Amino acid sequence: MSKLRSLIEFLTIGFLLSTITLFIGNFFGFSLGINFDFLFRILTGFMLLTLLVNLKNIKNILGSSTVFNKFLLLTAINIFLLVLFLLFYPIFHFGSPLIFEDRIVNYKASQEREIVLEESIRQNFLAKSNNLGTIGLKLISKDIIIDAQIIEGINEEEKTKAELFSEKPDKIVFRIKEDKEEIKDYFYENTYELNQGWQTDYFLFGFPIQYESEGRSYIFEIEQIEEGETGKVFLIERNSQGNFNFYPRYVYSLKELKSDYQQILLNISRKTNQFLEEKNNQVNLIFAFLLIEFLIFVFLKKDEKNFIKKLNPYLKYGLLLGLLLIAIASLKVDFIEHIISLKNIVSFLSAYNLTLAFFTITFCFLLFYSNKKKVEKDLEGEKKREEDIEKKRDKEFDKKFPFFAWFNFGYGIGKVWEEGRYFLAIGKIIASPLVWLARLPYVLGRWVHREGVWHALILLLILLNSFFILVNNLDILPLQNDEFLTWDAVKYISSGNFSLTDLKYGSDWSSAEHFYSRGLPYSLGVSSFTYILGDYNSIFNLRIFSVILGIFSLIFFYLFCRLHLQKTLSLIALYFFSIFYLFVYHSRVSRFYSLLLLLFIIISYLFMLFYKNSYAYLKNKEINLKRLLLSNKIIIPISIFLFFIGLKTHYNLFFIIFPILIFSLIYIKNKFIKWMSILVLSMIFMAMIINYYFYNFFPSWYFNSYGSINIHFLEQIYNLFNFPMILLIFFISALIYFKVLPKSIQFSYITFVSIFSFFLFFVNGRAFHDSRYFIFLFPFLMIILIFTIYLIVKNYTNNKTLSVVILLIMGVLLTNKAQIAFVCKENLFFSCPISDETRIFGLDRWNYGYDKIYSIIKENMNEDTLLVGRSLNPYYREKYGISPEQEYIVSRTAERLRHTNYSLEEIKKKDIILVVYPQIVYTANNYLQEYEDVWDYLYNNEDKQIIYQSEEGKALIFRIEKK
Amino acid sequence: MNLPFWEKIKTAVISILEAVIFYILVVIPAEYFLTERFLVFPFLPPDVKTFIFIAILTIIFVINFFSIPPKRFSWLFFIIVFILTGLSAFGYKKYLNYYGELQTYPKIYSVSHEWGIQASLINIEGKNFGPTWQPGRVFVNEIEFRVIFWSPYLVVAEQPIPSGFFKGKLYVQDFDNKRSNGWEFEIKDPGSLE
Repeated sequence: MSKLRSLIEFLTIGFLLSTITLFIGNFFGFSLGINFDFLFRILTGFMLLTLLVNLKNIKNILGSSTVFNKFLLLTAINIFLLVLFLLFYPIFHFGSPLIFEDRIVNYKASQEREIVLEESIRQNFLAKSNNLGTIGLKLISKDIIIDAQIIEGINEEEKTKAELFSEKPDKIVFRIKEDKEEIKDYFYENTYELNQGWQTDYFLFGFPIQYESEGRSYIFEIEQIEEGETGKVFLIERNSQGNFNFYPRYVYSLKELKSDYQQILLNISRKTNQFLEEKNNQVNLIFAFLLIEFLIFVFLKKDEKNFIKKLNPYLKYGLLLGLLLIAIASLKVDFIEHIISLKNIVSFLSAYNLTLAFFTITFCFLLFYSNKKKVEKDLEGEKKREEDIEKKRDKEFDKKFPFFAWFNFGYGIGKVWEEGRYFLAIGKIIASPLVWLARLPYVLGRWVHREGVWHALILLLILLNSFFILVNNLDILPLQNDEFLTWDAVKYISSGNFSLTDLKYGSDWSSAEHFYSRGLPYSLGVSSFTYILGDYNSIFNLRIFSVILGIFSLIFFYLFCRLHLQKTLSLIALYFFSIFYLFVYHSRVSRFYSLLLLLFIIISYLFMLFYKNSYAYLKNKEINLKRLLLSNKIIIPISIFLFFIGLKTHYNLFFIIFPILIFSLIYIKNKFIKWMSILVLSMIFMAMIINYYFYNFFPSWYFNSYGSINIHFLEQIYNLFNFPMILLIFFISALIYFKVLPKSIQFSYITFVSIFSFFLFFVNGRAFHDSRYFIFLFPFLMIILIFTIYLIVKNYTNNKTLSVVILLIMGVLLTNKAQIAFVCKENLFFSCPISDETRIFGLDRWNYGYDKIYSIIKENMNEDTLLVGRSLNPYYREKYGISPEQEYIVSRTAERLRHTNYSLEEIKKKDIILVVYPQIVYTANNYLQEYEDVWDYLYNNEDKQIIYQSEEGKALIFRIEKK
Repeated sequence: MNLPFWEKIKTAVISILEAVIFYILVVIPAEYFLTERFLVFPFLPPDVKTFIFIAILTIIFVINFFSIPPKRFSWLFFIIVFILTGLSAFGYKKYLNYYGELQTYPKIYSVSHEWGIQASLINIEGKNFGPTWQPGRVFVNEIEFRVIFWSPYLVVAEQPIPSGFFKGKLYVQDFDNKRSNGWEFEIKDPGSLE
């Protein structure tokens, strides 16, 4: 018996290895032509057989029969939960029980076929149920791409190309009949228009319900009857069996189902079957089941002596494997497009992203849970050693470096104030900036000595590297859409009409007509720089302020890191953040998000300083408010000042309130502070609810600024990032503020949360291009990420150098794929040639070549010509010397109202240059409506002649001669 | 035969490699001769292949399980198995390219009649005829038959009125003008039939 059992075990191992080997071989094109389903079934059979013959052993492993019974019970619950999931999920996934869509499972398209004129497409199918009422057919629309060329004059062919971008849709006929030779007539036939209007990729063809359809064969046919002019072609997928990607839908009325409830059960079972037949679902379900079984096993065994120790290696390698797979899967959006074998691996893995994330999170959680004491002790020791060395260096500085000590001038304000010599004190206050400057060599020298020369040097190198990355080729790309607004504001401020006396300036409609007042502090900053540097039309001058703000953000980010992390970790976090592509992007454009980021970091840093200074007062139940305020007499006013400056820069700075209040709730013992925090938090939530649902008071008084577009930030957050991002903002960012990491929070817990955020944020990072409103979150996520990786590394080795090396490799692997591949292809360490060729960040808005467009416009204009478009830029109009009277913008956005007024009749009498950006989407609103007639007349004008078409048809310029 | 865990893994790995070598050196050539040379059937179904592979694997697993490990698994043996696996994999990869190239040509495996008269329908079974939406042509020597039905594995053709009666070769020519193997076919005089 024992021999037979051993043989069964051996065969199971053998088949498991064979399946894995063949699967990998098959993936890399080494196919033996094996049917894997067959192999999987045999493997499953052997696995079950092994479990059966080893029941006694499993019982022994678990210890006692009570534990074994618990294991069986929990396994039964696990299975029960899976069954519940299988019953309910498919109903939500595939629609209500009233309908049944008979989709082709595991559909793999082998070709795409274009719908063309005079060629009908036919598909037959067997109806599996009564009440056939709809056919869903997957249609793919693709843009017709025309090569770039400058067109001079006009001929028929070019005219056709130009007309491609008008909006006449393709027309197709759909007809359906029973698939019998004797039946010639179609029972339904109708014409449909193909455009971009449908919401799903399945185009739905509805027809009268066929009540007796079950068991009958049907054939439907699609035929194009009119070719459209949408600039698109429409394709249908076909698999290797020649079937289109379609489904027949059977629809039941509630009345019918009431009379025959069994139909509901049948529909549910059909949906469940469909869900189960999909291979991805099978893998995910098996994986979820096994993972839960593993957790049950660990839970039952956790108290056993040495169990965790034995488990540790498996957890370590499991976690490492998970992280590696995530890193590979995250390459999906990057630079692997041309390497087919890599692309296959990445697409395969990224299909199981969620499974990978759960696997990694589980292993990470268990690993840290089992090692928390050891790691806490290590980290405590490291931090304490570092702090002791710093204290020692701080003390010895004056003796060791008498030259620097000479610069240690005192302010002496407090002392003379206490002595009652107020005039002298005021004089000292006035002179204090000079004292501050004179003390600078002492402060810097002491700081460098305390930090260590090497660390200070590396910090300097990182800042230099970042500065060169940010400033290199700063003006090589033209101003992009939103940067024109900054230019607009700077131009107005520089004209001399702007006054700071009225904080409401720019807030009321009549006085703000010519001025973009959003992000006012930033505009003032840029204006100062352009004033010093001389020219507000220079792209470099407009952008350099963001570069400076970026460097200051890095400095304060480092200071913030040093409050929590060890030096090496802080430097690594700083380096990765300094080359993080969103940071680079926002620090290179003339927009106020760089200021928002800086202010958020500074205020966070000041809050932590406040907490550090006040710890002695805050830890007691009673509070001495006077002493608390006195010990923070500089920090509090500066923070409040910056907070209000920040609110005027962007409303989202308000979010800083949440982590501060939540932190206060969690870590500050004093009851007064706790209740105050609860009160303020509740008031804020109330205010937000009132603002959102009842009365919109945010855009008034100080908060007002013309062109504010994101006052409804709740909705904005939800739309942009959905629920997980809300978690990040309200919850995780609060966790950044813990004072001493090891003691205040369980590693297992923070790792659990941060791995999730890291997966969510970095793996999907490239999809977050609209993340500018939440730029302030990224540095904090970077800290969490680096710290998490460090914790992981701590579990693998006690060797510090090795830890740093692994940390760097993992950091590069997990966070910096995008920078290395795209931003800094050459000269990684000291410059970053961002140019047209690199197409930084894939952002389309920078790739319009406005200079080319306007030079062609200028060539084709004379004194009487009118320039018309929906997105014309006054910056270029001025640059090319086009009079404002010659410009007519056929849209009015809330942010810019400039336009000249012409009636349609007047326009008809003028020579027109019409500029069209077909790929820029315009949302119709009330402002636009009055100009739509003008637009329709010009855009659909049959006499328009194309004079320029940019690459991929992104910009078109037409000439329309007066009648 | 209670093998230690790592010994089981080692034995299993060697068994898999042996099975792969055996499969590549015996089953694949057999498949080639049966499907491409002697035209016994168009292809070996994946289920049959899987069954054969699993049978080979199981037999080798059982043999290795009951054999005495030290005697068989010497270092020399390991090296030989790995080299053989590498060589067979390399050869198999080359063969797959060649086999893929072969699958671009139509091939006839059977014809419903060895002869025909005008208007008679002939079912031609084979492979690689091309998809339904890309029908090709059917010839007996220079006479072109009318294609009634076209699919990758079956073509139904109708014989036209011939210019003469003779024994010739029947070909299928696909959409890309690639010709299949010839099949003996006689165009008969309807008058000669009783």
